[in-house]
Amino acid sequence: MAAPATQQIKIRCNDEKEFTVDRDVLERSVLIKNMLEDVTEQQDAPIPLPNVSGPVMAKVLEYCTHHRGEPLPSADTEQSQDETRKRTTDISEWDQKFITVDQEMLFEIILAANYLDIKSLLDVGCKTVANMIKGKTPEEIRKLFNIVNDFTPEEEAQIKKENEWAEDR
Amino acid sequence: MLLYLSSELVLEIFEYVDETTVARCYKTCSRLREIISNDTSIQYRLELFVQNMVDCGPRSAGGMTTPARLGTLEHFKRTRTPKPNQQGVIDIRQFPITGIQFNPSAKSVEIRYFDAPAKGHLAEVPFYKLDGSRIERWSRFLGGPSRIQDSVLHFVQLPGIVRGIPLKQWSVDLDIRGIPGPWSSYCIDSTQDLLVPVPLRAPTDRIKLHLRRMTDGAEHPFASVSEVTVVLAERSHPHIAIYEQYIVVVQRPSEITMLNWKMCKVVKRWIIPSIESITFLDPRTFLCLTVNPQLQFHIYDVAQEDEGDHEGLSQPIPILILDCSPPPASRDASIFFIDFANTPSAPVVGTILHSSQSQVD
Repeated sequence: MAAPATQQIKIRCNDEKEFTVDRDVLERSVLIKNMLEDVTEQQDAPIPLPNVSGPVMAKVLEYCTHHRGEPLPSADTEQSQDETRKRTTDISEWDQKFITVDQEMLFEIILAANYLDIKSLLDVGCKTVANMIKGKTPEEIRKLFNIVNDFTPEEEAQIKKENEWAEDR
Repeated sequence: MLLYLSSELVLEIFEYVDETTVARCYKTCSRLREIISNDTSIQYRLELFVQNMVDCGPRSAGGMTTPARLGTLEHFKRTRTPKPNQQGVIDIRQFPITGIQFNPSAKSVEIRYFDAPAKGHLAEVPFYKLDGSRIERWSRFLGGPSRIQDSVLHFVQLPGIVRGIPLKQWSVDLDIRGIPGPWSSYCIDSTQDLLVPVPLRAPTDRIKLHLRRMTDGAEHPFASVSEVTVVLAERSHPHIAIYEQYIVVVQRPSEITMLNWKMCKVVKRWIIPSIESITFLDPRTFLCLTVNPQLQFHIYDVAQEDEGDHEGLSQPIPILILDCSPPPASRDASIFFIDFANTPSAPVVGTILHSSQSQVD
């Protein structure tokens, strides 16, 4: 390849953990991509990422490294996805393996992907949560996510009337 | 953990979830309920789903293909065609219709008819009432004093194909449930699961209203006591209407008593001359039909201050009067429609339709 040697960028997470990563890998994150475009001179100081911890960042970088070089989704494709409204929950084999983590890590990845603006990773995370809750009863959903049923008996009765069509009877 | 996410992220997840699951999430806790009820786009999705409709989007934006659209349309048509579980036709020409009542708050239509009995002869006639997709049946004697003959109320919940509601039948035996008869009628608010049997006028000046659950006849859990006594000045049989926390007892010819059934407290006692029936338009305003000297609709404000006071009764001032007397030529079976705009203070008389009996069927 005739391209110049890949630029290395340093980032620092909220637990002081630092990573040195190839620029094109980091640019999967629209947030970091925009930051790097704003900076013209070469900097040695690491980019601080106060909302992401080291273990989560390691996971995110694993994803970005695997998907490096793939085209970033453009605003247009997002538009048409919204139009059709029928979003598939299919996840590619590698992504499926990658996202098989405990629940805490899963939600941390979703939060990080949202913060770092990595659309494809956010989609994988959301699809995974969607697949977890699909077909479950309210009680099963509560159990799954440790949600406390905080309705009063009156609200409970009201809700039952409001959407009878989802009742399991 | 799911609740740590912002509402935007939760909604993003819902994009990948089917509507039934969204509806189930709605029932898990108040946070998810709030997120779902505050987002118009998900509300739109749920409503489309309930109506069995699909938003195809413009063709240019990669929406559905024409064959897919046609398929959806055909499917929509099929599910829209009523498929009654049991078919039966009641020939209403045999039974002169004595009244048709539309209750906008309960979205119910009540049709009353009877086979006019020979003078002095008691005929037991089943009465049917269609309320939403529920049929209620009871029998009563006609020809003598009007009262419920059977102590059992029968209910049939008609199946809903689109919403997946199965056919369900149940009965409530008022005798077994400890509600002593005789009753002249009953009143139901299905959204609150409330059933109130209306007793026949007792020789005393008071009646007891029992607050029960429609689904099993048990005491209603939201009522602070299971029965409430109402003092009545008039001598006729009472009629009642329910709206949210209010029960209104109408005593022809001129008395209404409004009570809060959850608190078991009388809120108003009003005189409205020649009152026939009553229905609420919203929590603040109600509509009365008065019959003498002409048919008129009166609209009253519940919150209005009471002025004169004799024996705890006062006469309110209507905020609006609509005259709707039928032309003299029309006979007893008449249907009136009034179309109210969103604000009850500005009703619009849309159609007033009179029809003779032959046109009703």
